[in-house]
Amino acid sequence: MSTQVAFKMQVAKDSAGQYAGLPESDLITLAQQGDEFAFEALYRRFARTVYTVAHHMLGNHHDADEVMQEAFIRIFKNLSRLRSPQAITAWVYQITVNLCMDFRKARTRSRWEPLEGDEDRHSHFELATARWVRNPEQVLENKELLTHITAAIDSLPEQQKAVILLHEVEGVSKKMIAEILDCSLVTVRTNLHHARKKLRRKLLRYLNA
Amino acid sequence: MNEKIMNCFEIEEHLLDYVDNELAGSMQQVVAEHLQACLSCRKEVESYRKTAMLLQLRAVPEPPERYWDESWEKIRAGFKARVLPLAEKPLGVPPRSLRLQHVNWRPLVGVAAMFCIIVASALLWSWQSRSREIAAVAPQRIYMNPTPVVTVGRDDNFSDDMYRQMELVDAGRAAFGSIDPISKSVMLVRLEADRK
Ligand SMILES: [Zn+2]
Repeated sequence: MSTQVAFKMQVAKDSAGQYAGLPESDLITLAQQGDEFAFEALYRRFARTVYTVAHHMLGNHHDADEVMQEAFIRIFKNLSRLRSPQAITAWVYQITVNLCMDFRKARTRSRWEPLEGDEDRHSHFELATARWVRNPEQVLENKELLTHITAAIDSLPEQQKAVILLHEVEGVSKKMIAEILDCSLVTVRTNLHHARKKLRRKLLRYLNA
Repeated sequence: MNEKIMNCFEIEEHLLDYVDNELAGSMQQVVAEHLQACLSCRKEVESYRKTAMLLQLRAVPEPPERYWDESWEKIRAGFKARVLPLAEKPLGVPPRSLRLQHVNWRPLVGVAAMFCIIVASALLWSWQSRSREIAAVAPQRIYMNPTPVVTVGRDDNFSDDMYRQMELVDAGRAAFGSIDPISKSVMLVRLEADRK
C-alpha cells in the first residue's frame, strides 16, 4: 500500500511540475474542467501573494494562514465564474482583501486588539528578515519602531489600510486597487492620501531621525 | 513672502501626486521648481517617501518551503470536502504546449497504470459485494461525504502522520470514487439477473 501511495505522490509531483510552465489562461481553463494539477499550479503561482497580503493586513502568521486557506477554497469554488483570465490577479487580491476585512470585523466584534505579547508579529525572525534591517543590534533598536508602525497601520480604517498596504508595500497600481476594492480611482486616491497623511502624522518623530 | 505661503498651500495639494509621478507634465514641472526653492515643501515630500519606506519594515517573513506543501494539502482536502470533487488525474486534452515537445511520458504511464489498478480494484470490489449493498452504496459519490480527517483552519500540528493518513484516504477514494460507471453496469446486470 505504501509503495502505491508513494507512487501516486510521485505521479502527482511530476504532473504538477509540468503544469508550472503553463500560462495562466491554460491553467484556468484546465481548473475550470476540474483538473486538480491545474488547481495546484494556480495555488503555487498565487500562494505567496495571498499570504503576503493577508500577513500585511492581519499582522501575523496564524491569521494569514487561516485566511489563505479560505481564500483559495473560495477562488477554486468560484473559478468557473471567472470570464477573463487576465482578471485573475485582481480577483485573487480582491478575495484575499475582503476575507481579511471580514476576519478583522469578526475579531473586532469580540473586542480583538493587537496583542501585547504577540510573538509572531514582532518576532526576531520577522525583524531579521525585514529588508532594512541588516544586523542584530539594529533588530533590537527597531523593535520599538516596528511596534509603532504596526499600531499606526492598525489604527487606520480597513479601506485605507488595504489601499496603503497594497500600494506602498505590494506595489499594486491604483487602477488595480480600484478593481480589487470595487471602487473608483478617485476613492483609491482619496483613501491613499488620507492614509499617508495619518501615518505620517503618527510616525513623525521617526521621520526626522 | 505672502506669495510664497500661498504657493506652498497650493503646492501641498499636489505633493502626493507628485510623489507618485502622476501629475500632468506642466504641473509636475511647477512642483519640481517649487521644491527646488522651498525647503519646507521638500521636507514634506521627503517625509511621505520615508513613511512609505517605514511601511516596508513590516516585511513578511518567508515561511519555510514545506509550509507551502502543507498548506496545499489542507486546501485541497478542504476544497474536496466542502465544495466539489476534483478530478483525481489530469483531465481531458492536455494543453497544446504539453502535447508534443514537453511530454514526459513517465507520469502518463503512471496514470495509465493507476487507471488499470483502479479498474481492477473496482471490478474486484463490485464482484465481492452483494448486489443489494451495491445498489445502496454505489450511486453515491463517496467524495461528496464530509471527510473527518480534514480540518480547514488552524492546524499547527500538521504532522507527517496526518499526511500519510490523508494520502491513504485519497488512495481509497480514488479507487472507490471511480467505481461509479463500471459498477453501475455490473449492478444493473446483476439486478436484472436477480429479477429473473
Ligand atoms: Zn513650499
